[in-house]
Amino acid sequence: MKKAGEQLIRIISSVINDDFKLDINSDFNFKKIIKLAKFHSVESLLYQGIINNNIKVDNDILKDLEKINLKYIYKEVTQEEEKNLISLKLEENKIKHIFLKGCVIKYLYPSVHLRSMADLDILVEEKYLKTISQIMKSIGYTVENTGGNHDVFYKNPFMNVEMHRNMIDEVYLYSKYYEDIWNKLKKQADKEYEYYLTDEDYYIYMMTHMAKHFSNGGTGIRSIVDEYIYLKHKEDKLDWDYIYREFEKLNLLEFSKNIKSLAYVWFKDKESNERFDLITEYILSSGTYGITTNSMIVKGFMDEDADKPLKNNKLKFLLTNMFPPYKQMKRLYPRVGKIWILLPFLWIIRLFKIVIFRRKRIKEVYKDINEVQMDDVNKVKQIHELSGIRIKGEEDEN
Amino acid sequence: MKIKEGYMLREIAGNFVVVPVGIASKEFNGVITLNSTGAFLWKELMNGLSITDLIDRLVATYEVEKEVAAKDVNNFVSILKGANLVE
Repeated sequence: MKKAGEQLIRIISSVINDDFKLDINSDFNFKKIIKLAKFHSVESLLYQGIINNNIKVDNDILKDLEKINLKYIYKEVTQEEEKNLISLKLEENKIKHIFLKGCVIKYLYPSVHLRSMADLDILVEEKYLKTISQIMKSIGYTVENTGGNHDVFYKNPFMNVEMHRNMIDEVYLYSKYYEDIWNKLKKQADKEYEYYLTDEDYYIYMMTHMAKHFSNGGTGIRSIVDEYIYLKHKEDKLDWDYIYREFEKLNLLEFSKNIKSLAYVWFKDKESNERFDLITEYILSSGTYGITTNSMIVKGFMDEDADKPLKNNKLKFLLTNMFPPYKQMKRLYPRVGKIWILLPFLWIIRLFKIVIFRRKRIKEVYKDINEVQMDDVNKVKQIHELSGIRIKGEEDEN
Repeated sequence: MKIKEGYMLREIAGNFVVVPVGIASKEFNGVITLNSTGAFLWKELMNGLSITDLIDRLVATYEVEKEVAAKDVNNFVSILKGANLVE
């Protein structure tokens, strides 16, 4: 994977730096590169790189990529249209909102479709969520899920919209930093109820969001591309004193500097070292949003004593997942979860639902837990240490 | 003759793509790729135009023989009609 990863990064680099002089030799295994690109949702960047560098690849492979690229275009145009429609409806109903993540960064990419987006992320005030649910239904969406950090809406052919209560899920320590977010936001000049983050605050948010993923299941190639593209467009204009002060508050200063350097190692020919090689390897193995095994290790095994067997903690991890603590249950069942006496009853309902609807998932989780070895735990610990992630990222829920 | 409402023409990295949005996405699932001549005809048809006018515009813009232009326009329009994209 390492070799394919390095080659994929080189191809992506040519696209985002608009420099198409890649010397591709027979050493490039495009089957492996495409598999990795799919794992990281960067197929369009790969396709663009192949076309613009005039790289000769197998016709079937090229056709497959072309098809995926068209899907990304289709998705982006649809998402943009829906974004405008939703914004219009929220304006009409006088509901303050801000578009987050891909909705913002995609405009800095050489072409908007090159930044894939699984869903639209919108922050709104919690008190409006019921009204928003009605609005979304009125424009053809179904309510997929409510409660937790965001309500989820769906519309054919592939529109997922997440209406967030918080900038960062409140189970993570970073969420505290964003408690007073509405006072920090700026109003869009031509809108009454649409807001935006300043360039500095967007950068801080992007890094915080990345840290949340990195410190749990891991983060993918796309997040480092986002980082580089943002710096490429904004670095000289940003107030770095302010940014570094805020990163100090978030305990993310060292992590942010490492990620910035890593982006320059990948895309600006900055020299690498063992630290960046290991972080690169970890990111390449994590996929777009991280992997379950890493997430399990962080949630259940980071305090593991190297001299003791993992068995005890595996059982503890399973039991905690079967019977989540009260705080987590309150989030999963916001309406009735506040009545603590119902907790055993809610555990049974949840277990019942999981057994009925997510049987396959249970098997996967069980298999993943069984496969966790002390080496895996040590590897995650080492990567956290090297990257500068100083806190677990998730609040102790007990 | 006019392209139906709800189809967006986008130029992406030198290629032209038509994407259905809103109600149109319920009638047409997928994307249409066009070359530059196809994109030209599409743009003209978005405003509504007769076949004769379309042929004249193609001749004036691309300096092609009227016969060739007529053949291309008729082919293009029949594909659009077949896919129920014009009204």
